Amino acid sequence: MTAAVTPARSRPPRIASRVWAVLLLSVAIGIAVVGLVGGAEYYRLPLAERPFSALYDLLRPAGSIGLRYGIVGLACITAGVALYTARKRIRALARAGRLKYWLEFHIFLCTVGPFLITLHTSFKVGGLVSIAFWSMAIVALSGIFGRYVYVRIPKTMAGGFADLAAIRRQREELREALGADLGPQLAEVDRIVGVARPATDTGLLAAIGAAVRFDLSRHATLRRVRAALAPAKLPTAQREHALRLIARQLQLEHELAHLLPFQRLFRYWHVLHLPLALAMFLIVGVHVVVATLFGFGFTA
Amino acid sequence: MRPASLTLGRRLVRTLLAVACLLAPALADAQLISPGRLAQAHAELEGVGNCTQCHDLGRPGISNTKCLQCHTPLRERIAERKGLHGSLGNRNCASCHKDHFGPDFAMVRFDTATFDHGSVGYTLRLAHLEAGCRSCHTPALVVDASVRAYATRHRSLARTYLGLGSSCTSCHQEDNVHGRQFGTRSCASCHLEDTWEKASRFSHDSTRYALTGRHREVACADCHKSVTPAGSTEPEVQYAGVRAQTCTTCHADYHRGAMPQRCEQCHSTEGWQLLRNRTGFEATFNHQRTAFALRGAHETLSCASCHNPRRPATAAIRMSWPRAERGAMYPAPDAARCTSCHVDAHEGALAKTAGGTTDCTSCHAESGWSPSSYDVARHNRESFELTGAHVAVPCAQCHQPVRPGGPPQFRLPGRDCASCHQRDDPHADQFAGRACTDCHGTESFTIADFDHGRTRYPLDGAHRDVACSKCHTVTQGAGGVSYVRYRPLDTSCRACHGATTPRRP
Repeated sequence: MTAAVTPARSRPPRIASRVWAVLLLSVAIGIAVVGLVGGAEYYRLPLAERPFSALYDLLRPAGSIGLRYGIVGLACITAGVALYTARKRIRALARAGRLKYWLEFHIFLCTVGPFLITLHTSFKVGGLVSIAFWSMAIVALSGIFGRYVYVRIPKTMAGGFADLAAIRRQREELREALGADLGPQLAEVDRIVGVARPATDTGLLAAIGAAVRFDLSRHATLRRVRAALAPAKLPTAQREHALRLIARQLQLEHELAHLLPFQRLFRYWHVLHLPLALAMFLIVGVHVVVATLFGFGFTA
Repeated sequence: MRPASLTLGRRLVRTLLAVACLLAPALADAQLISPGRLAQAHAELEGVGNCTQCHDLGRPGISNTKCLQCHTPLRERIAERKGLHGSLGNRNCASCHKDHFGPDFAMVRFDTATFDHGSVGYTLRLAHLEAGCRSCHTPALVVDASVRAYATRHRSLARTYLGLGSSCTSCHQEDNVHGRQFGTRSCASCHLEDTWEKASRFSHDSTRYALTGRHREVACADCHKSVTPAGSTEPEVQYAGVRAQTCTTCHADYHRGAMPQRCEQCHSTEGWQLLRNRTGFEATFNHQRTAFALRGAHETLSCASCHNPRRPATAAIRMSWPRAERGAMYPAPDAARCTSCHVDAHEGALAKTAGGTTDCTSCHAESGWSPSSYDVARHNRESFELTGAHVAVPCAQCHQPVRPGGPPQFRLPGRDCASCHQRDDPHADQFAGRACTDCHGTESFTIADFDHGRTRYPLDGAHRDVACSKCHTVTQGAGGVSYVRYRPLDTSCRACHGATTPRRP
């Protein structure tokens, strides 16, 4: 039995997954709002005026809150990186939940962490540790890009990347299911969504451009399909099931057409993402050692 | 097997990262572990090796001890508990003075508008409050040697707030207009910080010459003149050493040396005209020393009787005041003659010349107008000899007022008997053209022993025994006036004796 291939964005979300995502998002937004709103008065001050602000002793990098921002932020990044890396590389953790959730937690920690680090800097970056900061920023931003690429590569149920044969097989299964749902209407749907294109290794920029264009036109295409199916007056459940399959097919066709460049893009992204993260940890380590030497520990 | 491009890419990225790490110190402006560049004043402390010049390992923040190892003037002041820093106790330097905010960061910053200058041991008052901080805290006025040396060495002389003196002359030596008059006395003993021109604290009572009375109203410059001290080329107003032994040092002697006593024995500073013990002065003043010796009634008068221009004129007294006497305490009226003050009761009738002035002293003395010295002897000698009954006649009976209420007429128009006695003439003009004194004397009109022999009919014989009235009878004259007829009489015998009387041979 082949591993089921599911396009990343077509599986109906489960309640727990949605709650998990909402929870993480809420915590992240909450931290952002509290941090920014509470410190906006201080962060908006010119650098030379900050020492004379009432919030200086709280929010400066070595302040009673500012220092804790840095410590907690680094802890979040460290945990985010360590846990996700462990889940991916340690065989014993292979069955410890779907990689998807570990990734989301990694993304959560490695978004909140850099944000707290940014508050720790009070938006003033200098010295050797500025390299670590900008490395962290690039890593975090590249992570957003990396996730954009990641979700466009079909994966197995276990979360690993699917190969081309498995993707093609899944596409055939979808076509059969659609034929059963739509019958003669399938031809009309095929006319709207277009014919399947073979997987071609286009340039990276062309692939990204195609992905952006697909994202922008996806909903319009589905609306046209819905309108085309309306005359058939299919039962609602059947029509909705068919539309979900069509959406899954659309995604799968697109991913299949650009599978090779996206896989290559994702490999290149790793080349940048990981070394920068390592450089960040290296320099942050120096920064933490120096800060501790000068008495700025957690209890300072 | 990985694509060759991927392997090449990874090598490229790793190489770039390695280069970036090596260049990081340079790229980070050699800050490395520093949180930011130091302020300009601490520029020489930049560098990783100098962190411990200010920081202690293992202890967050700044070490006060390390700060004060360099900031020696402050260390001295803190040790002596002087100035602002001497009053801060154990406060950490970094609580007020931050760093690592760049070369242009002002490490010393405070709200000059609300800064309590009294906390440094010198309270700003009045004009000092209006001046800006840098009006006083200038390099030229830094007098503390250690502060000047330190600030010069660190090129902070223009920025420092330390090192000023607290005495007036430490800043205002050029404003000292008194030269060396006051020696080491503090300016603040007389001057406040409002203005130099006014010595608000100065009290003349604290000097050897307390100002009293109207002396307080005199401008300083009226007594304190500008002089050029010996050894100086600049004039200065002399305040110290001004001598005023006597009043005449400043005031002209109104009495021109005529008064033996000192001015202050009679006069006070409240005003020349406010004498000390005026009553006693007036009581003892020897008027004989003046140009007008008081005699007689003048001696009993009060000073104000004469020396009072405001005294209203009366019917008897009318004075005039020379212009030169205006303002005098005892202005002397014009007293050239009696009539300068006294109204001539005779209305000029006794003046020697017409329109001239009367010489009152010819008849009157200062002892009083009455009695006049014009007695009977003078009357007999100078005017009309009073004899007989005339002697007993009151002056006023002859010398009647010229008009009702007027003065008596002393110079009478005539001296003959008829001038006064016209009404007394009982003879009805029988003797017109003949003097009354032919028959009468001044003792009485009654003729006690008339010598009939002086008439045309001398009496002899029995005629001598006949009463006058036998022959001289009362006759009615014109207008029904009765008179004794004396003449002409018919001297024939028959006129008296009748027709039978023999005629005289």
